[in-house]
Amino acid sequence: MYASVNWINAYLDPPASADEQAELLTRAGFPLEGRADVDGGDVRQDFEMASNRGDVGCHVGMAREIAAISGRTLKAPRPSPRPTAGPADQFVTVINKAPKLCPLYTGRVIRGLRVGPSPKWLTDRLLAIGQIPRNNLVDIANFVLFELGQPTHVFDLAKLSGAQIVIRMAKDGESFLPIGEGAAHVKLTEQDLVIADERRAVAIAGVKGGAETAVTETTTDILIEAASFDPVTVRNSSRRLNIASDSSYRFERGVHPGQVDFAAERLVELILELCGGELCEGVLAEGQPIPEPRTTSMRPDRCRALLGIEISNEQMLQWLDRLEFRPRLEGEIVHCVVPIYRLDIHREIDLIEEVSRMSGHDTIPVTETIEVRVAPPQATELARQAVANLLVGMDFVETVTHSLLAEKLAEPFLPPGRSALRVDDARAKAEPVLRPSIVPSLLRVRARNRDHGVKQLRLFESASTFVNADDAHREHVRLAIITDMDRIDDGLRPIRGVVERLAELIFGHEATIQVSPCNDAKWLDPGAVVRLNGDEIGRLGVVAPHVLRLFQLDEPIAAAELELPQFYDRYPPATEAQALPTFPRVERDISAIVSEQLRWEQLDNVVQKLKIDVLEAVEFVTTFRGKQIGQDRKSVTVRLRFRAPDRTLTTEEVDGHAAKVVAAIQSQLGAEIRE
Amino acid sequence: MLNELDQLETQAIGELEAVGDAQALEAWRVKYLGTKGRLKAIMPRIKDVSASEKPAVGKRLNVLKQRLGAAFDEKTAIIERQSGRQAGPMIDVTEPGLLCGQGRRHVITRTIDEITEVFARMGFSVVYGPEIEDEWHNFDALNIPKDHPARDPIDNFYLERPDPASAPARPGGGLMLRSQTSTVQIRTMAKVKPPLKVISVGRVYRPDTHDATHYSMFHQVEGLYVDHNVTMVDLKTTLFQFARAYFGPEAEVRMRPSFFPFTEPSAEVDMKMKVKGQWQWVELGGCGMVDPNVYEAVGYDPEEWTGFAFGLGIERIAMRKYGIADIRWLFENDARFLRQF
Repeated sequence: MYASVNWINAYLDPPASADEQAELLTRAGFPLEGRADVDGGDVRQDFEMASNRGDVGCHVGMAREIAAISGRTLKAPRPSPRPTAGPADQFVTVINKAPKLCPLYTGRVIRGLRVGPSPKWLTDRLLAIGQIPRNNLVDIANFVLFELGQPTHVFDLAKLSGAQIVIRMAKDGESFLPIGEGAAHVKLTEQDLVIADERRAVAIAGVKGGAETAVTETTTDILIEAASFDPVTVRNSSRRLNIASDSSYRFERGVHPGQVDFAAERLVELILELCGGELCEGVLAEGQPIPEPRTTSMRPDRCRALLGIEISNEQMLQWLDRLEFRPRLEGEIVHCVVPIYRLDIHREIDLIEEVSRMSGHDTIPVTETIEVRVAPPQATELARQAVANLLVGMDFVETVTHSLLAEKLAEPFLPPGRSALRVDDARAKAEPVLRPSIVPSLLRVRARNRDHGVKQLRLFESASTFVNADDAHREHVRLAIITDMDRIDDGLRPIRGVVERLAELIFGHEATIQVSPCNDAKWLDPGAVVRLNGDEIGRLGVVAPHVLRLFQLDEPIAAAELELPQFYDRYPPATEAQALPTFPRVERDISAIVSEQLRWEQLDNVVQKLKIDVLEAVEFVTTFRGKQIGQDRKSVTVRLRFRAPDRTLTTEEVDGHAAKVVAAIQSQLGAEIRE
Repeated sequence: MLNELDQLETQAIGELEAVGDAQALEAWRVKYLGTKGRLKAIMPRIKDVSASEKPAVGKRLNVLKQRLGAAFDEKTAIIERQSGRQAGPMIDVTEPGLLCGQGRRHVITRTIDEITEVFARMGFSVVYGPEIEDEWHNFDALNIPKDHPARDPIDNFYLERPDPASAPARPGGGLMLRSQTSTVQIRTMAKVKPPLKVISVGRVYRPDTHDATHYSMFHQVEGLYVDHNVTMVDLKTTLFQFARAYFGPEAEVRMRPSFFPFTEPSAEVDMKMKVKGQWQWVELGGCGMVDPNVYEAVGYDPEEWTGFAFGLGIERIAMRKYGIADIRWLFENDARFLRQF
């Protein structure tokens, strides 16, 4: 909020320089955000306002904070205007039909005033805070708003229809033309609180006055409105109608009914002084009884215990007194009366915060050492970092992508029987879906990088994924990886290799994953389920061409999405050292020409089924395709590794086993052996 | 005999010095160290040496053997270096390096790891919570009243509601993407009895229009410490120790009074950190003593337990630390950008 240094000083004794005001208000919790020199030797400063401290959003309010924190004297205005004309209610009366939303409405009538230019002191004040002066009447109302923080409104009495002002809810569809250049009619609803005359709404309560009853250069008789409105009602109307005003800003932060009369009298006093006219006898007040000031109390011991610093009872009492809390120490308790403008103070903790503000956070000491209870390293954190480091070492670049996605990009990634979760926000219209998978985000990043000329990219990200299942939302943290398939002949072996390394990292050397074909992931072609000990831990495969097209990608990409993060709590896997084998290993390579349809898994199964006890491993070496092999056929090279734990195997023995393998794959798989 | 060995050494070393190529070196080796070389020729004569002289001669012979061997190795290295490698093409040491593939951590996750590491050393453990939250955890339990402007749909991503006629009202209120990681505080306190000392890190969402400094998703790290006799001094000390450990020995912490519904007293946290080589004050987040109403919401006795909470913006820290001018760069994930860190 803009503040004039001179204006604040009008209420301070002794005055404070711009720097002092800035420093003191910052210390009090209202940091300086900007500063500019203005004509006439004044300085305009911009302070950030706390949302719970509407009382500081005016010059007297800021002066009050500065006075309290620095020990200066506050010189607030003391208006006492005297009526000189007959009763006001002969011209207009007030009916308050919504006392809950308008706990106090007051009207005062002044007749015979003259609208004209404002004096220089007044225009200087308004110009200093960036307000444009209009005429004395409007300027005074504006001045009081920025002086005391109380919005008021002035109606041209002659333009009001009938002799009754009614505070009521608007009718659905009721039309209203607000004040303001180029303002258009707005349609009100039953949720809007209005001030109305006999014919129409003449103001949206606390938000904006109506153009038809506004004061002009020729106005002579006026009705002054000063009131307290419900903050939520004001905010809702202001938001819905998209009309924000200095008035709504303040009502949204709360105005205590007890402040209303004071501000109205200040306004009347200035109008009589600067515009002339006569104040009519009586105040037209309708609403609820003004609540008594709240009382609350604080235990100084509790305050010291929470702040951790030694502050004497006397010091606390002095500070609370400067803040106008009228503190009274009884035994070990300080009793306070909360000033009516302090809508934020209800509890002991609120008073403790006041003490801490006055003491200043900069006086809180820090210690060189801290006490620590040593906890073991966290498995989940170690695993998260180990996984990331492993992938980084394998040339994967980590991404952080938005969780929201366009509908059509998310759709292919929805598992069967699941629907997408959407956010209810007009601004997220293009990308309203909470992603069911991280892969689409990675594909989008891949496409963008391709557009920028980045070749051969591997990406990973670990994040939450979301779906709707049976009308309940599900959120899972997953790990997704994608990689260009730059060596197409290797098929899915590279990404499977990465998955195997990841599984080994989390589950240990003994863990072996099973990968089997699946058709239920629309985004993969071919796709496979990854299992560990029978439990599904994810999917891997080649991203289907129709999905690649959604991202304008044309080169093949392999992807995997794993539930691995669910298992991070078992990290690191237990390991026990094994003695190294004493006897040598013997290897035999066999190249078998088989049908293109034959899967490695089948070949492996046939060999395993022979249960050769000295067969240590069956390794895939390579697959070869070519003219000499023939159409729809491939040559698969297998390496058999033999070892016995207790002796060196003889050539005859190994050759015998190898021959058994050859015979089995020939007879069971129709394989032809290449020599 | 000893004299003879001395002479042999002098002669052999002298000849070796004169050797200039691999061929001459090989000839020298054959002459002195070969199976029919001079050294071998001496061996059989040892048996003729008197018993008293034998140890000295044996020792001298060993020394000679070692010296000639070492001299030969040294000369071999010199000759090889002079003539280049014996086999294969010439190797140009000025050719540029061939880099093996190496990925990168994202600068945000890396910053998260760095920060959690420092707090872990101070005894904080990491807790996680869901990104889809209900209003109770995101607002009510955090002492944000029903009519508070922070709940406005304009500032939050509420989830699209299922058909209200068929779906019963949820006990925790409507669902939303969490707007702050403080929700995890509530979830943790509801599960665990004090004392507790945790940080929660993660994504939060607010529907801001994207520009250089705003994004509708960002990351926070939130700390919570509840125990007997925790004070504002502990709060400031924790932030101070973090700043010193993370930003360096000149780092400072400043707290300015502020307002948050879930802490009281509340403060904004500024830290003095190095931005483009200069130490500067940077606003990093908020902190305060946990509000008694929050304790009530999770069933802690506010008279028995006190504690503090703080929240820092990860993007803000990373952007200042690494001079990242536009927050959108972080989420575009251009590999050329990501590989800079």
